[in-house]
Amino acid sequence: MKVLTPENQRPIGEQSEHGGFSPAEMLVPVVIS
Amino acid sequence: MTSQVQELLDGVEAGRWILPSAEVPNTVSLARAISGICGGRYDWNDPVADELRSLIGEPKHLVFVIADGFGMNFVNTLPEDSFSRQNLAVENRAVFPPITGANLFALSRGEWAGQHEVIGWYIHLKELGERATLFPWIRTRDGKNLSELGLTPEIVYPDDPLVSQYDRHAMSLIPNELVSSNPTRALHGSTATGYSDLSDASTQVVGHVAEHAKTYSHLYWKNIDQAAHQFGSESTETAQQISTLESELLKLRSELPADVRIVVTGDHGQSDIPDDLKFAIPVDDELKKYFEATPSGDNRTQIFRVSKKNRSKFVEVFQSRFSEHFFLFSSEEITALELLGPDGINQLTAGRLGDFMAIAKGELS
Repeated sequence: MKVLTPENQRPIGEQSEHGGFSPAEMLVPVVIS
Repeated sequence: MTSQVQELLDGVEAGRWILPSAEVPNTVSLARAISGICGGRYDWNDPVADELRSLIGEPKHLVFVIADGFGMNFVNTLPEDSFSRQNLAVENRAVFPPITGANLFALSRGEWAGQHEVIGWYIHLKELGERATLFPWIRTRDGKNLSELGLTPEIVYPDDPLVSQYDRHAMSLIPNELVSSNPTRALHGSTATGYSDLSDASTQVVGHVAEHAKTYSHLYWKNIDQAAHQFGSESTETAQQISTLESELLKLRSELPADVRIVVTGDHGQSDIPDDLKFAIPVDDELKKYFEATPSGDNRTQIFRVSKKNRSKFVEVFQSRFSEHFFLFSSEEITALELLGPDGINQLTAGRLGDFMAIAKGELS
């Protein structure tokens, strides 16, 4: 996984991110009970 | 078609990437379905919203939980007899970019990012002529409060939340530290109220349902996203937050009458980022000479404003360094690919979009 970080942006040391096209980022559940 | 667009579409075909779509279950349609159920606006021609509305039913009491960062990547790790797995109705596609702002505003407005204008953590505001960090409500450069610079939520987020038109008593439970913020006001209008922890929020939901004949109770919880950012999506800390959500949902279900409908979703999932795959554009970088303003957007979806005379050179340099790891789409390509939704890009969004968006390709399969 990759992240592009210009200066003065969110901490580059974060372990996980989101904002791309991967299924892990794009798919969310709808739970109905 | 450019080679990049072809590469993206090939990756979609192969299942490596997923694009936003109004034709399959999605976050915008879920917002519209809930609005219709709660007696609010429902004038879209959206068959997917009709299907989601049918799945939810027409309950007098609707509890809508958004767990920040709770993507299918986490749901798939839960035991089959967990609350979320047992009651999983459908998988939704998030609004692109799959970030909190774009998806919370999609859920608040029932509109795609191209219409609701919140396309990044950092947004270039024409009123400022530079970048703002909207959730903390500051000018990014110096941390100055946007209100002190003359901005209001109505200027930055001009539309009204769907909840303002609901025909039932509405309460939006927001963590105490966020409840008074301007973005919260824009998302939830006058319905926002604070809570200390998930147990406190559940107690308030149960009381709200008992007190009124028809209710909409919304609960926003941010801990899974926070833990995943800090510790990684496979960390014990993140697993603990998912476990807390699961146990509180079970408890809430047991304390609410059976005819109360609970709907749970996430705003996006997560991807872990190894340190050797993080890239920086330092202050003295060659690319900076092409920028008309500091890049905005988010870490995996960077937005660049580049003067017209420098665009071809910028593309050449960027591609030579980053094409293995990032797409670089022009604003015209973003529009043509409908990445910000099928309804085009309104004028305010176009101003915030700038000239190019670099989108991380993610793991190589």
